[in-house]
Amino acid sequence: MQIRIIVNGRPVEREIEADMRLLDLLRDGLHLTGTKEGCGEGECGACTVLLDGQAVNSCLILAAQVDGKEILTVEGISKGNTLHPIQQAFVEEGAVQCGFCTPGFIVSTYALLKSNPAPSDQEITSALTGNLCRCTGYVKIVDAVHHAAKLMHQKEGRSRRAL
Amino acid sequence: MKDVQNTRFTAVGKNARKIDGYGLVTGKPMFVTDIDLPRTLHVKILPSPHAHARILEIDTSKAEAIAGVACVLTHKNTPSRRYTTAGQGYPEPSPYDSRMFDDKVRFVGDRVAAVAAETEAIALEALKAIAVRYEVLPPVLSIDEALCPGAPVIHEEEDATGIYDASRNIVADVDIDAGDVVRGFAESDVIVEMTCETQYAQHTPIEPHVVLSYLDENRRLVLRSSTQVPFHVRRIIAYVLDLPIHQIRVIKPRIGGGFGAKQEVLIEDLAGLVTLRTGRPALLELTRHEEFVSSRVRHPMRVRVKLGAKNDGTLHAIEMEAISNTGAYGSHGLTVLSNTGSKTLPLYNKAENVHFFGKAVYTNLPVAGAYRGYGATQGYFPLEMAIDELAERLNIDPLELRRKNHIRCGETSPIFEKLGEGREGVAFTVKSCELPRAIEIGAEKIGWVEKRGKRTREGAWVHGIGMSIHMQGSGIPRIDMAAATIKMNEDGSFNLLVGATDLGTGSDTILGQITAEVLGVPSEKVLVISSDTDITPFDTGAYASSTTYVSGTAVERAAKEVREQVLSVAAKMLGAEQANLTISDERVVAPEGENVTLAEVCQYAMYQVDQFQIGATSSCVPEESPPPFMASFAEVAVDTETGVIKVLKYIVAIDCGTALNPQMAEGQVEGSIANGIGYALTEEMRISSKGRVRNPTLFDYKILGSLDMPPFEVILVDSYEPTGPMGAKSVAEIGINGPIPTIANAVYDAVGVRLTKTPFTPEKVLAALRDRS
Amino acid sequence: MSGEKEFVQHLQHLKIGSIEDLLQQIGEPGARIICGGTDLLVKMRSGAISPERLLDISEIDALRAIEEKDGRIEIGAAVTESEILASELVTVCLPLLRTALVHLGSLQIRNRGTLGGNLVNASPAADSAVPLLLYNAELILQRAGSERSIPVEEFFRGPGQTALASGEFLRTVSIPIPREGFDPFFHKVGRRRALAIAIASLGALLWVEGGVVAEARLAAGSVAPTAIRLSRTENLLTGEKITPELIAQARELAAQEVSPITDIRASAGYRREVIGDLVERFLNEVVG
Repeated sequence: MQIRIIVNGRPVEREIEADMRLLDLLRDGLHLTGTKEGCGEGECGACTVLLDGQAVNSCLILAAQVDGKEILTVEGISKGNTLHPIQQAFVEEGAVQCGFCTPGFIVSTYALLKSNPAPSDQEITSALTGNLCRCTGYVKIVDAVHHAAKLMHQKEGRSRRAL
Repeated sequence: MKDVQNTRFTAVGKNARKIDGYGLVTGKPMFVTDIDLPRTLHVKILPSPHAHARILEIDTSKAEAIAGVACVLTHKNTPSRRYTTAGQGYPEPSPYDSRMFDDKVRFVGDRVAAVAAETEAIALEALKAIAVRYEVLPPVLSIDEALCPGAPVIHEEEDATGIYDASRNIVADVDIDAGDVVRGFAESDVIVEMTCETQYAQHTPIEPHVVLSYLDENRRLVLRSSTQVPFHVRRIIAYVLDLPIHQIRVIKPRIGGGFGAKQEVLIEDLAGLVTLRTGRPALLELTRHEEFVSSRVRHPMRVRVKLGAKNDGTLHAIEMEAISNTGAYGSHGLTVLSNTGSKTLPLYNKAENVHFFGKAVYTNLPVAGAYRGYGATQGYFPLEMAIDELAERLNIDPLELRRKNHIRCGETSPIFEKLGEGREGVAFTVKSCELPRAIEIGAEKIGWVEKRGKRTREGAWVHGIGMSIHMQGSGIPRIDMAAATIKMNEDGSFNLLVGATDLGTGSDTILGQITAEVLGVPSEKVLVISSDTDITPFDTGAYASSTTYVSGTAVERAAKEVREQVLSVAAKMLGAEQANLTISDERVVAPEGENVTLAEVCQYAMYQVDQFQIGATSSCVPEESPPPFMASFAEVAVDTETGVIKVLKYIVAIDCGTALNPQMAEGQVEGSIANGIGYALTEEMRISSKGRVRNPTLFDYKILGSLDMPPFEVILVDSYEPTGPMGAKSVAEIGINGPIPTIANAVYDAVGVRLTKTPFTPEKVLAALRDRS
Repeated sequence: MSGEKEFVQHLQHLKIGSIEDLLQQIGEPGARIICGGTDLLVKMRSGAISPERLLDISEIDALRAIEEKDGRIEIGAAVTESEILASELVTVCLPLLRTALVHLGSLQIRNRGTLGGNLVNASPAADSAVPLLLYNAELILQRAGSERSIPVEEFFRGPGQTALASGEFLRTVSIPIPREGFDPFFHKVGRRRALAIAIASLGALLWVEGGVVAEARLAAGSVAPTAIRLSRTENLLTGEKITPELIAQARELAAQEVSPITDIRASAGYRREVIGDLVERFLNEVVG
């Protein structure tokens, strides 16, 4: 079957099998390999992408189900070579160790900060519950989300002044 | 948080940015499966449905006839050499009891056959078409059954080597003593004893094991593998597939965590053989289910500790007995068992009489292997609970009892020499130990004096405080080896080539920082290339807390040699005495201030006078294994109605020498503590009465999520290890030893029950509470 | 790592636009409703089910609304758990439903998973079942030419078993807004906080008037083949003054009237004991 979707701002048209998962479409079909598979059952969150702005597990969605919708993956978060403040914060705070879960965390954080620009610890850990990390113990990930919130706030302040 | 800021250094002791950070946060293709090779075959494995069985017949003809199947591998058409999957120094201390495929299967999930096909779906379909007739044998499903006289023999094959006593299912047997423990107990005023059991637990790296193999343009076999031990992979695969080592290249790209699971050579042989047979690339990636069932786990153990002490609190005798379940194969069986004693008993060196003995036994259960903590984690559980029990019996504060008995700077333990990695160890004295300060800081942060023994109640919840102390090591003395090559480029930058394996720990960054420190350049001027057996010098790999200490020392030595070369060229250029030159801010400076840039030095050497490549290769084989030390504290609340334990606060004060990158050192401790809390409270592989893993999913095997983490704080207690690179020791494993005894001691403080079996599920806690009342 | 088990080769995915279309398709052989897919895909990949046609109801407007009607809250079967949590109506009128859903799975799961899906799966541990039992929810089931409404208790027939007939689907969950003045309670015991499947859970609503229990509703999850109301314990409490003796009796009775099993998460004995403990905890909280 034919689907039309928007991936990272670009329209994509593809012929797919009905049993193809969104994850496989992204990784194998579109070569967007930042999105990872850690379990294939919606537990680890390494495959998290945004579907019409909401964090979802791309391993539990058929590509056919997202026809007509908009997808954002980790590759679509930064503009050019400049890191998005969330990505910058993850590097600066030491929130990345092996990095395999990182794209999922960054996408989940992106969704969180869009709806809640200054989350509390509790709001952060709740929002990131669906993303497992075995390396960091989450301490520096929570720090990075706070840091990212600050960076984004500053950036917004600057662009408002520029207007 | 750092106790004392380190001001001695310019590049180390700082939170240098992770050199692979940019790529990782932007999702660049850095992992094994992020690249596509044309015509790649997909390999799937047929697992054994039986815990113990002989394969009487195996018919693959139907599978081979399926369109798209490239090859089917079984014991009938594959090399039969016995080897060990344990990626260890050579000759390995683990028995050669594994084969690519055998005519016998020894656990549910053991290999029966493998299929390589055009697609994964075809490979899976072909697996179903393989007909196998088994003679089911009686299985051995516990350590007690294994040791029972007349128990079924799991490894009766004649070509296995290195097994202590195959006829009794004993992989390894260790028995060492110092002093006379019988007399020691006779002379003791107080004796306590504690027996604890640990469960089947899995590493669960978020990326499962995966390898992509292919032939390069010269028909050499390339293995792009998610491994902690690329050089051991090359050596073991060469042996298994009977290839010369020079025909194999192993590349480790970024890998998604290891924790010991990837210190095993588990899948490279299959992909490699498929590529050799077909000439095509082959991808083998374990599913999460296979990762649980067929990869490796932590050795479940039963450990008994007996302590004897004088009335004044001096420990006089320690006996530790460990029975370790290695599962169906003996990977790391001997060495993990040895470590249970060797990484715990020296901590209490005031005891003059020490006896450590134990066995590692085969069962028809999932296979154990290396796992962060490596036996010490299991040993500390009864040891640190017994110390608390002893303190209670002696009516001494547990902190005081530990202070009185723990090893200190300038001291040694006979265990260092008696017990090594499956053989005798190496004697040395401890040259850095800030454990007293770690205990003091941790006690203050947790509020030891105010909260201990208070049993504050909030409804059904009762609060308690507990602690424990720990040591580990930094590499394996006289066994581990690391090498580093540094070469200079004409813009004043350097390439650092190391065999050391960054499995997410940040070791590439830290080794770069060491280079930058010695050569007086910013970290960005050091370009690190690691873990490619064709390009980088040898390293035994990332295990045994070795990289910072062992590989770091090799890097420091290479950097110092290069520095001498740089200074000697600069001396010629400046007409100055080499001994009077210094390097700072990327310049070589003479006492009077004349200077040349590093770029000019390299250009001079490359293009102008007495031309040569500035560069050096150095090695390190450590003579000792300086332990990092840790004091671990927790506040818990126990729900006396449901048995749920809530960890309210966790404090770790740790001495790892100079923290070369404090943020990364903290990250190692935070990650290992989180893993340890999961091991203590929630993680458990449940096994059926037929030997089948009942919860092989992350849905049913619970590792902690962000919401489960207690507030916790890591304090790096400043110290300086004179034998380490810039004063550093390693820190990757020690943290995981803390949570079990710390939480157990806190639970005792809260509700007065000693939990002796992990994980501490609500059900076990409630049962212990009911038993007491 | 795709594929524990391959999907059926000729799977069809059909986006359904209206209830009329759904009624036409639902009787076709091999047809199966998909909405969020969070459970269905796991089951398809493990080989537990192999449908041939997936009827995607996620965009049927008639199934996507939360409305207040005649003192009842009506939630369409395709409303996601996140949408329920974001609903002002639910927050104000059905706080226990909210409490139960907050820790259901992860945000990623709640963004896709639906109330209808959670109920149709009929897991003994289904997080949404306990509050719906307490609220006396009715489920509106529809098939070609007829519709019926049944109490949620009658919907669950056993683990994975429901009252849905062939060709029938769950359209709406209809919940009477409870009268004010109750003490609410919800407690879930699991191995960890996040994504934990319950070892046991207890929910309760209790109206105390003039010092005696006017009405008691207690429901428990993971302690019987389906989530259940503890009706014998409710009867014991109704009309009584809450005394330490009554609490002890309620505790005993609750432990008796559940029928838990031993599984990988906990033993039957533990579950029985904990349900008693939770009943006791709840009643102690009510007394203050």
